[in-house]
Amino acid sequence: MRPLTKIIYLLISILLVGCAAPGAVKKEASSQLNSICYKLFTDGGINSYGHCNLSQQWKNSCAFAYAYDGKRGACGWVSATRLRDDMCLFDCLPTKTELGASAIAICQEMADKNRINASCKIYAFDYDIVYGKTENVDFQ
Amino acid sequence: MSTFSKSFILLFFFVTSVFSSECDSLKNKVLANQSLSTDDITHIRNKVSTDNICFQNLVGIMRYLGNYFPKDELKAANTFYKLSLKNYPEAQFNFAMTTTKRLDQIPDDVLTYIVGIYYKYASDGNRGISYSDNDSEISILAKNLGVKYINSLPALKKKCDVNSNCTKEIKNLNAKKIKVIEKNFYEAINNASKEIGNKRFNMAQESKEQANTIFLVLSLGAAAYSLTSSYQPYSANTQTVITDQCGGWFKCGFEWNPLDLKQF
Repeated sequence: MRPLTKIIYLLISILLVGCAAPGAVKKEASSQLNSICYKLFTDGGINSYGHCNLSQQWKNSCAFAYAYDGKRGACGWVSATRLRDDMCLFDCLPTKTELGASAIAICQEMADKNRINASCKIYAFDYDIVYGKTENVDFQ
Repeated sequence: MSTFSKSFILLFFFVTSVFSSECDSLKNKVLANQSLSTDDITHIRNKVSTDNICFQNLVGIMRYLGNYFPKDELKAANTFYKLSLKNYPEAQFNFAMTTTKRLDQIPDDVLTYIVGIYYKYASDGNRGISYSDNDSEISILAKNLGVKYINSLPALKKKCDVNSNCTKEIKNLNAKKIKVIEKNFYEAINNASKEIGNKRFNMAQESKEQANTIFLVLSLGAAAYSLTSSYQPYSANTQTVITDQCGGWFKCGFEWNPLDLKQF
């Protein structure tokens, strides 16, 4: 193999591995997600959830939703960039609710298509896994 | 607009922002169980008498918790309800919060109300660089409240065993019924999410199309300008007509050349 080809392969490998999920996240996700969704959640590379997390400029840049009916699972994710208002000058990104809701909508479409009898729930915002965790709620 | 009107508007915004931040900081103190000074309490009482919504909501919280005001959950719930009618988001959430702790409610109704809050305030919240670490969006808090309420249903049912003031819906709860309630809740949340998501996605798509159209028009304009400005008329005797005008966009650049320097 020629040196230039080696360098190109090395750069591609770094790009793909560099976008992937951190070890602790992978460990937690492996115990909760099915194999396809686990791959979708942890993979790096162009247009992947890992890439969305790596290229994020803001908190809550990506959301991942997951449904599991006890046998089969479905999932979906969305990036804030996809939901950005390109015609505004400031505050152009979606709210956290809009981001999460869009991920749920995409996931549910997938679940319905595959006849998975379960509701999609938010699995993570970025690589912050919230699935199955109860948040503290106080008066406002 | 007269100077007086301008000053009045500026003063209004200044006063409202100061009052709201003042109210928020006092609310944070109350929720963090920090002690308030006598001056703070007097100030809160004065503000409540001026019909300030934020301070009324704060007193509702203090009354519910029995913090510096006599504990009265029902009166607090009424305060939240009255403020909810004025469309005050925090009070609508707080009213939902009080209903999740009551035994005389129907769980499905409570959750329907919570899903309504989730949907209503989906577009209200921080966007972009102003994202904060804590979840302060009312809609996310409402969804979390719904989950917490479902988890608390077995405990509420247990309380009903020694309390007569319970609805039959709570009294007759069992694991199977709670599962159904949970399923209905998530279905409702997902239906609301579908609408919220589609609305946002369509808006983003439209804005992207508009941005592309504007970019295309500008590109075409620039292309048309560069073509027309570099056009040299062709004469029948094959001689080129030379004009004094600048010979085109790329050749001459802008017309402004005060030092008469050579342009490339």
